[in-house]
Parts: sequence; C-alpha cells; structure tokens
Amino acid sequence: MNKKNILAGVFGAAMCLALGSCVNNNGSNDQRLYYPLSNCFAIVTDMSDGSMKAIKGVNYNLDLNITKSTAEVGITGLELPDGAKYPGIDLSGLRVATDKNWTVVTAANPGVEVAGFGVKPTFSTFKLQILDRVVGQAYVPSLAISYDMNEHYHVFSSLSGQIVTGTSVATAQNGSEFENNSALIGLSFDVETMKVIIELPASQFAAGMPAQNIVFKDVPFIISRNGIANISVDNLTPFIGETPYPNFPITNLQGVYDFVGGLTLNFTCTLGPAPYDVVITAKQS
Amino acid sequence: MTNFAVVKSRNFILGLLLAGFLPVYGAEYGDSVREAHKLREIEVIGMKTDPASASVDGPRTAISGAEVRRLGIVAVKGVGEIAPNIYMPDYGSRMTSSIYSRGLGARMDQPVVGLSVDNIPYLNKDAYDFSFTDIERIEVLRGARALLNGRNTMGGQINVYTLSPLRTKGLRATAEYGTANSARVSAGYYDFVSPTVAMGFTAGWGRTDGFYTNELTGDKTGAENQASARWKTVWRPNAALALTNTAVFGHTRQKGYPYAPVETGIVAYNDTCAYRRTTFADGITVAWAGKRVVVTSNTSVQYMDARMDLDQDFTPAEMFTLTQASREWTVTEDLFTRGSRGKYSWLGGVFAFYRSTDMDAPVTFKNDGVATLIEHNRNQANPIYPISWDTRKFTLGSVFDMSAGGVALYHESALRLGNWTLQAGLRLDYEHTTLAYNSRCNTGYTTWHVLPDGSREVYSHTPINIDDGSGLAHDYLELLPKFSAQFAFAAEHEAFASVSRAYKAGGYNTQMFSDVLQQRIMEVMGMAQLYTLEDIVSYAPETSMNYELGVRGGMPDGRLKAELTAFYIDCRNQQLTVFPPGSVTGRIMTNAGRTRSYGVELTASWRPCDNLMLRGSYGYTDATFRKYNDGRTDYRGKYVPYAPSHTLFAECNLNMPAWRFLGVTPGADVSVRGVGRIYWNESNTLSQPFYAQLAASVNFTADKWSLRLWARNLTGTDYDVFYFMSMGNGFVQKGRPRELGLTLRVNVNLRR
Repeated sequence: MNKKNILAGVFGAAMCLALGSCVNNNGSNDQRLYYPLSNCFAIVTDMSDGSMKAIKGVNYNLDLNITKSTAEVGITGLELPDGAKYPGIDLSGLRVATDKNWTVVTAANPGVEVAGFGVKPTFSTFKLQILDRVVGQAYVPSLAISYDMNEHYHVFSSLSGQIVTGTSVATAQNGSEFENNSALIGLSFDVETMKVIIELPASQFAAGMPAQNIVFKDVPFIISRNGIANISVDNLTPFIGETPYPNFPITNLQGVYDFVGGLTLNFTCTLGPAPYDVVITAKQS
Repeated sequence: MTNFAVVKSRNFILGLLLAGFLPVYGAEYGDSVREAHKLREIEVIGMKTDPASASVDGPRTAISGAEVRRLGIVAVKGVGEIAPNIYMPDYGSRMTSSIYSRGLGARMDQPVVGLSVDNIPYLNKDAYDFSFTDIERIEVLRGARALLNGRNTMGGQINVYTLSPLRTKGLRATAEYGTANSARVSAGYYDFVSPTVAMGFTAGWGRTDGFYTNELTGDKTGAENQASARWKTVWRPNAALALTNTAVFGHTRQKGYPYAPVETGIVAYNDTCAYRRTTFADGITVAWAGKRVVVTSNTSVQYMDARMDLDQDFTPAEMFTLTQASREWTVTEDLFTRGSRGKYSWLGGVFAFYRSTDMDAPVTFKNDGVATLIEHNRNQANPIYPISWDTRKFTLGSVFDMSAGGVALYHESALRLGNWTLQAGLRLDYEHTTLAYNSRCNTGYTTWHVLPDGSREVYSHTPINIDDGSGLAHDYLELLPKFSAQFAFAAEHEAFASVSRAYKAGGYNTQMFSDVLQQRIMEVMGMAQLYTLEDIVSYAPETSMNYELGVRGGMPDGRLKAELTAFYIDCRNQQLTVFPPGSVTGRIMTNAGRTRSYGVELTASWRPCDNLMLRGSYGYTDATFRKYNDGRTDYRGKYVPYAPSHTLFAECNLNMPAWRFLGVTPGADVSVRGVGRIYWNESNTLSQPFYAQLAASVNFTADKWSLRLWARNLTGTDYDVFYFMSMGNGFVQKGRPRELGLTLRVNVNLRR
C-alpha cells in the first residue's frame, strides 16, 4: 500500500530533501555526509519576556565529517525579532554523536562566521538531532534543532512536514476495539497561521469500514520554546478525497507532538450513528 | 512388457515405406493399446519417448481413432475421465481450457498438462480446445512429464496424432447432426502424389445453437460456428530421411458464456458475450536415421488472433464489460537424438521457444455500473457533498506487450539389467519473460454541495487522467531431474516407480490491471488502495516433486490388461486463482503456499471374446493445502478447489457380426463418465457432489460407411460444471443436458 503518495500535504509543505554523500570531499580522505535541510520553520523566543516569533523558510546545511565525528552547520534565512536578518551563518567546531538511531550534533559554543554582517551573533547550547529515514521510497528525515543566540533568544527549528508511524486503536461504544498496527500519520505545521494539517492515509476505525485517506485541515496548535506542539480543537469536519464529510464529524481532538519523541493523538470519530474513540500513538522511528 | 521396435537403422525406415497402410477405420474397437503399438512400429519417427523403449514408461492412457469416433470425442475436453484423474470441464468458451490432473491445475494462464498435436506443442492453453477431424490416436501420458516435455507438464502430456497419409488412402467424410441444431461436416482426402510423397487434405465445419438460452434476450448462449482445415505432407526421399509437414488452420466464433446466478439458475444478461479465434500452425518434423543414432527435429510456427467480449457482471444491468483482444506468435524448436548400444540407450536434446503476445483488454463501465458502484456507494457515505460522474460510460484501458522465451537442455539414459530397466535424466530449463503495459483512463466527476434549502451548487470538479506505463521482466531457471525403474517380474507384467521434479511457469496477472486502475480512481476519491501492481502483477513458478509406484500387466493373449498406479505430489508455490478483496471483478493468480496430493489410478480393459470389449478407469485424488493463508483466512487442510476427488469411466462395447444383414454389422456401446466431488472455493463451503453421465450408441457398420445413433447424458443428469464469483455474487454454469444425434461416416478409396 503506497501511503507515501497520499501524504501530499506533508510533502508539499516539506522541503525537497536530497541527501548528499560526499566522499573524499575537497581532496581529503575523510568521509562526509551532507544534508541540505531546507524550508524549516523556526520558533524564536525572547528569553527576557517569553514572547515568541515564528519564521518560515529557514535553511540548515549540515556537513558531517564521519571520520572525525565533527560537523559544520550553515544557516540561512534566519531573522530575529529585533530585526536582525542574517544572510548566512556558518557554525563550526560541532561534535557528532549518536543516540539510539538519531545523529546528535552539539556544541556549547560553536565557532561562528557570518558573511556580510558586521557583528557576529553568539551561539550557545547548540543541539541538532536528525534521524535518517526512508518512508515509502522517499527520504524523509526527522529533525529537531535548538540553540540560544546572543544570550537573548532561544531558537527551536524543525521541518514543516512530519511523518510518524505507530498504532491506532478505535474503541466502539460497546467496548470493542479495532487496532491498526501500521498507522501512518503526516503532519504539516504552518507556523504563520499556527494551524496543522493532519493526514491519516488508509485509516480504518472499524472492521467493516473501508480504508480511507482522511485529512484534518487547519487544526490549531501552540508550540513551546522546546519544540512541543499541543494540538487541540473541539470539532472539525474531516476531508476525504478533497471533499468535506460533515456526516463524519471529529470531536474532542487533543494531541501532543514532540518533534523527537513522537505523537499522541486522541479524538472521537462519529461513523453513522456510532461514535468511536480513537487513540493514536506514533513515533518518528 | 510389450515389445516396441526402436528405430536403429536405415532399414527400418525402408520398412516403413514398404509397410503400406493400416486399415485404421476397420479396427473398429480392437484393443486400443495393441492398435497404438502397431502404429508406433510404423511411425515412431518424430515421437519423443523414453530411451528404454519406443513406448513411454509411467502410466498412460491410449485412445485409438476408433475409440475417438465411438465415444464421440470431438475435442480434447472429451479425453477427461477416460484418462483417470484428468478432468477438463466444458464451460465458458473454447478459450477456457482448464485442465486438472491429480489435484493440480488452474483456471487461468499456465496449464498443468501439455498438449501436442502432430508434434506441434501448443504453449497457450487458450488454443487447446479445437474440434477434432480424422484423429488417428490420442495419448495421455499421466503424471509429471517435465524431463522430456518441459514446462507446464506437471500433470501430464496429451499427444494427439491425426491420420497419416501413409496409412490412410482415399476419401473420408463425416456428417453429424444432433440436439441444439448441432451439425458437423468434414471431409478428407489422402493419397500418394509420388512414390515418396503422400498428402492428406482435411476440412471441417460445425455449428450449434448451444444448450442454453439467455432469458433476457432470447438468444441461444453457447452458439458456435467453427471451421478448420489441415494439409499434411509426408516425404520420404530416401531410406534415411523422413519429413512430415502439417499445416492447420482453425476459426471459431462463439456466442455466450452461459453463466447464471446461483440463486436463480437463470442465464440473463444484456451485454454481448462472445469469443472469436483464428489460429494457424505449421509444424515440420525431420528425422534422420544413422547407423546407431536417430536425429529428429520438430519445428513449429503458430499464430493466434483472438477476441473475447464479456458482460462481466452477467446480470441484466448495464454494469461493465470486458474485451480481451490478442495476437500471438509462437515459434518452437525441439532437436533431439536417440540411440542405443547394447543394454544402454539414451535420448538427449535441446528445446527452444519464443512467444510474443500483444493484448488490448479494456474494461468499460456503463451507466448502471457508474450509478450503482460509484455514485450510489459514494453518495451514501456523503449525501451533503454528493458526486455526479462526467459521463455515463467510461473506459479503463489496458494494453500489454508480453513475451516469453526459453531454452532447455535435456538428457535421459536407460540401462537394462536383466529384468530391470533403470532410467535417469536431467533437464535444465531457462525462461525469460517480459511484460510492458500501459493503463489509462480519462474521466472525471463533479462534487456538489447540497445547501440547507435543498438546492445544490458545484463544490468542485475533479478530472481523472491516468496514464501509467512500465515494464517488468523475470528470469527463471529450473533443474528437473527424474529417476525411474521398471521391473518385469513376469511375462506381460511389470512394476514401475519414478521420482521426478516438474514445474509450471510463472506469469503476469493481466486481468488485474483494470482493477488496479479502479483503485487508482477510488484513491482520487479518497479511498485507500487495497493493493498496487507490485503486490499482484506477477506470480512465481509452481514446482512439484512427484512420486509414482505402479504395476501393469495382462494376459499373454492381450485380452486382459490392467494398470494400477499410486502417486504422491508435494507441490510448492501452487498457483491458485483467487478473488481479491472487495467487490471487484478481476481474478488474480497467486502462489498459494504448499499443497500435497496423493491418490490412485486404475485402468483396465478386457475382451472376453472378439466381439465384446469392457474398459474402465478410475482415479482418486486427495489434494489439500498444507500451507495457505491469504492474510484473512488460513486454508490449511482444506481441499484444493476445482480439482475433483474421483473420476470414473466405464465402457461396454459390443459388435454383433452374427447379426450382419445386407453387409451391415450392428453394434452397441454404453459408457459412463463420472466426476466429483469438486469444491468451488478454498474454504470448501461450496461443492458439486459426484455425478455420472450415461452415454449410449447403436451403430451400423458396412464396408464403406457407418451410421451411429448416439445419446449423451442419457439420463439428463443435472450438475454444475463451473462456479465463480463476480462483484461478490456467485455464478454457475450448468452442465450440458441430454443430447441425441446421429453420425454418418463414409470411407471410399477412389484410386483403382
């Protein structure tokens, strides 16, 4: 079943990723991997008053030196609330480690180079976590980046499009359960509108229900400075095949999405006369 | 063990030229096996047989030309039950030639029994069902025959031989008329055109109204017109060389697939069901006999142009139709040598083939199909945003370009050690298959929004433009060993045993492409695809290990002969026809897992006196799944569907020369055929119990003519011959009812 093709919203919002493998780059014998991570969003929090600003179109270029376990990161498109707009920032001196299947790039105080800008920003507590992943036949990594700038701003960045896999359990009124262990969920975060599109391809909530590609559009969310998104809406009309289905209303939708830890989503789906309480738990890996 | 002459020297071929011809027509019913032996002594050239003798080891059923005429066998399907555990149901059209043997078989695509006609191997079972004219004999070689015959002979090999102009001379004509306005006419002329060249020309025509009526249209379903012609040339330029060329043409036009819903049993559908087929084949056999070796080449070229139109829902509603139009070319070459030295004999050769098929198989959704299957189902789920399709008819187009080519090397050696004959052989089969496809659909629908006041406005319009194309290729390599032993423990008595490996070729699920297209359309509408082409487009070869043990014997005078065989088959990746989930119409071939089959076969013939012949055969098969789970149901332990548990044939033939009057000798023949139980599905919830059909005839034979009055299914046994599902509904085809008729044959030698 080609669920990947159904996640149009996720891939539409996500960047076009191309994992480049540059071996023997620049004439050296080091093995390197190059990640052009484009079209990320950034949540910039003013640490003095807690105000937050969302930015789209931030790009990170991650250059991993596998041989030396070091990394360099290039940042473009970043704009701070005070108006500072950096055309390009290069960070160096980053260390590479692994944590389960994640590649973790950290630096307490990375070296900073800025082209065409008089005053260099300072970076501290830089942490980039990336999970290499192929979904269907597409490379769709998971990503979470956090760092402090100028000891004044905290930045959390990730990809707009997210994919998690896990289990959905639908409980009918009579207590019977229908479980799907191959649930695939796509989330497309728009930090300007603060709405997320949730795609549930090939979803089934009852044994006799045909599998359908269900989309929850424009679900409000709030996101903490550390990258935890809380999703909540009292009721919404699902879309199936680009058509609203008001006779299958979704109510009491609550969810928490951790860009590293996964998704927990609860809602009530009414199919005909009977409501089903659905619980979805899913992870990036 | 009957002694067969093996071609060993050029003198034998000279003897062949001088042998004259056998009055085949005159051997009305004689011992079919003895008659076949005589024929083999004369024309063993071109036949590929085990090296130990000119006959074949293992169980076999021989049907002489006289028996073909006496039993009213007009096509290959008539051989079923006479050969035990061979079942060829007559349903659908001449395109459907499903053959089941010992629990093996499939309704679609690859056959489990091979067919050769005058040494022309037919690789596509769509061409298996043709009308017989002037048949000399039929051999049914039961059990796996992969060593010498290669692919698709897991359940046996059927060899059909038409009359040879070397042994037949003069004019032969047949005229037959029977129930359902069924008529057949054929004529053939055989003669030497020179001292070394003999030719035979045969032409035939037949028609029938069919036995069923479409209650909706009043048309006779199963109606057919068919014609055929054959030109056979035998040339013996010298004592060492023999050439035989057979060119055969066939054309058939059929109407109707007489399928009825299980609930009503009434055939009633509105759209056309028809089948048209034109075939041409030419095969040339060249045999050269050296001092110690005979080299034979069988070359054939075949062409088939066929078209099937189906009302795929088989209901009065205008739901959807299927057309399958194909053109196919096949080329085969089999080059083998055989020889012997003392107690050692051998046979070895190489076989190659290439088959190319172009197929166009569109499925057309019509008004009721659009309304019921698409609009109604969709709008029931969302009445506030209903859809309306752009057109009341649209097509799911599928075009295929398929090819299969292969080459095989084989060798078998035999060693006689006293009463023992030991044989061992190996075949290496390589096959390459390709499929290029293009699936397309151009249609669309409008989504409406029903407003609170009941009016509606356009919400959106969704065009559906699908144009998918790709290609696939597979390679298969099979090693097929065989070991056999025969022990002659007494005169005219021997025991035999064999172990062999066989396989049925893999292929592609072309019938599923329209279903996948339907799913792509449903995906646009928001339904998840149940499967993709990658999931279901191809199926792997089916392989089997076959074990046989048997004994055959008879009285020295040949009046009593019997053969008893026990077999066990371990089949892996058995190919089964299953219906995919959902209310779709296509069937897919899938590799089921593992099955096992065991059983016994008994054949016997007895001539207590010269004028009375008793003959019978019985087959029992227990074929069950050892491992088969389709993801929803575990069918382990269930019987394999469509393959019967029992087959039965019994015949009593009486010639009454004492009652000869005015040069006419009367005779009578009574026979019974039985088959069943046949399970119709993997879950074994539906089946056809065992049933039997009685046939009888009275014949009057003179020197140059004969008249036969016959009846088939004399007691009017009611049975279902086929069951299938379409759109979640079950359909059956009833078996043929009672038939009465008469056949007049004339045989005149015009040369003085």
